[in-house]
Amino acid sequence: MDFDRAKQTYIIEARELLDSMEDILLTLDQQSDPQEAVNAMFRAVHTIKGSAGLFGLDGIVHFSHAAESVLDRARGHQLEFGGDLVALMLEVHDHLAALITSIATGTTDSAGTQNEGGRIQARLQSYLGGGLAKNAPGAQSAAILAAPAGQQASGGRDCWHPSIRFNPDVLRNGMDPLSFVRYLATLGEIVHLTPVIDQLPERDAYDPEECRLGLEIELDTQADRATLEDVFEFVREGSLIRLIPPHSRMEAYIQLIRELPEEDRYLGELLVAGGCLTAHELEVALKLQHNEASEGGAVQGRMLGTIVIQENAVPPPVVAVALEKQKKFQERQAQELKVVKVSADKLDRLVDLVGELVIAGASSHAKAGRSGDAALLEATVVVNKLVEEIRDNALSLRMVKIGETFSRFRRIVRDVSKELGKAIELQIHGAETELDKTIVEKLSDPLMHIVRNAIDHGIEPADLRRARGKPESGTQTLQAGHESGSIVIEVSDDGGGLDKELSSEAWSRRAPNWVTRRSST
Amino acid sequence: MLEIEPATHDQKPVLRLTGELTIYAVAEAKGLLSEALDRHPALNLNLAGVEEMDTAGVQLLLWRTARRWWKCSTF
Repeated sequence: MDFDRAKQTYIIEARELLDSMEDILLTLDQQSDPQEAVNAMFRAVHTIKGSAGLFGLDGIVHFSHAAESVLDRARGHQLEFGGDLVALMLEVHDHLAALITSIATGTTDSAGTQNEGGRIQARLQSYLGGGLAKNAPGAQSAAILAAPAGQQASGGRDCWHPSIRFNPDVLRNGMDPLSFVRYLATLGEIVHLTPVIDQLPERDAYDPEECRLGLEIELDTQADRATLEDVFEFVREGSLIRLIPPHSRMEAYIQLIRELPEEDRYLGELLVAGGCLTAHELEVALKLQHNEASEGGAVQGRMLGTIVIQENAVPPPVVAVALEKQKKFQERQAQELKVVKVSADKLDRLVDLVGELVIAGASSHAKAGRSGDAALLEATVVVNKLVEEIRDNALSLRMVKIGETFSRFRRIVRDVSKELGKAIELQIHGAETELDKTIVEKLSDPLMHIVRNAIDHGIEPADLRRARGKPESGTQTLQAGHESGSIVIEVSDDGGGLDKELSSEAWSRRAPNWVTRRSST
Repeated sequence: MLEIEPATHDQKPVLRLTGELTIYAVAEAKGLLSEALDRHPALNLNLAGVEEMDTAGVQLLLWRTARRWWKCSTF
């Protein structure tokens, strides 16, 4: 798999996650389920952190870890998620966005960015300070045996990942898997350890003298593979032992998931818990593989198979089974993903081709009409009808809802109004109105100026508003809708309005199609 | 040697384990634990008196909680 491409995907996904995080933060008081909102933010930050670890982006891992910890505490009701924290999380969001941008552009973080990060981190720490002991023993289920897992970001470290399923007879043979764990701890630091209990039989089928446990370990060590293999020398027989070296690519983990007896999802979650993979990466990886498979055809499929054979010397039928299992997993993922990302170039090419098709179709239809062949004419009519449908569909592919652009203004309104000390509420109507993506993108900047202008100059300070008999809190409205074949975007506020003489001149010159209206409240 | 005796704490049933919860005792402990859990699904275990525990012991404690694992069971 192309690592750079995976990284690009990471950048795109991280930005989307950040957008959703910002959206949640700004609409927190309107959320019907605040708990779920906090959970969603936690998941977003967690995913960003986990994926960053995979790419070795230590700065992001380190920074997002602190934010994640704070969110985790808010999630556990140990922290009140109030105004101050919302403001802080917005700063976290901005800083993460800056970090992601610097990765996207390949620049190193400036000293200013780093200072900013340190400052935010210090404030995050103040929310965490001293209270860690509050985590009652047993209150956290998954990490019972884990070392201080909450405090170390395992994802960013160069960890070996031993994955072990013991031979059921290991206990009867007088060996104790715990002793291996203890020994591993002498070789390095066990950053994370998850006992895998999925294979424990239920109730009476359980033989307490059989070992049905598995271990997924993150070990930070300098030891080499031979040393680690020697640790498991005595249990190798009948056990399933995999050692994944540091900096392994996603495939190695996905391979592991497919090999092991437990369900894919369950294992995926375990690996996520260990910080070596996120569920999201799982999807990304499988998606990328799928893309390449469809582009490269059999080549990719053969490559995967070859890896399996090299690593484990399994016979070809088993490889077929493994690939089948992977395929099923992909299909399930595909059902969950309702949105497919397509590069804009491809869409443009499609639209161009459809345009050509329409012209060619019309010309063949005209020729058929002239030939007087009724059957041919009928056939071209059918073709033309289909072509028209294709054209309509192709054009609608580029349509996006304007709501996303609108909701970006929540942040601007919030920040600017705070800066100016005005209370302003943003109302959005017609967010579901669809526009061509390029237009939506181009709209974003001018809209920003209009909104900023309205907040800056239109809406009056609270005391003036009171004097004019208006409610103290100003209202800024963004509205989109269809009107006689056009899309009308209306930006209005209940402020003092524009200076008529100045505005008529300025607006007719710069944007004649935009409606401005003096509001009367 | 492992001893298992029922007790109560705040009027809730508790099973107090003392001694060594190891491979040598798990077979017997499984029976007792299973019986007690069938009677009180929300049983608390007091492990303060356990002096030694090996993998078999840990596995025993995980066994009946395995299905509830992700739901944050208390044990």
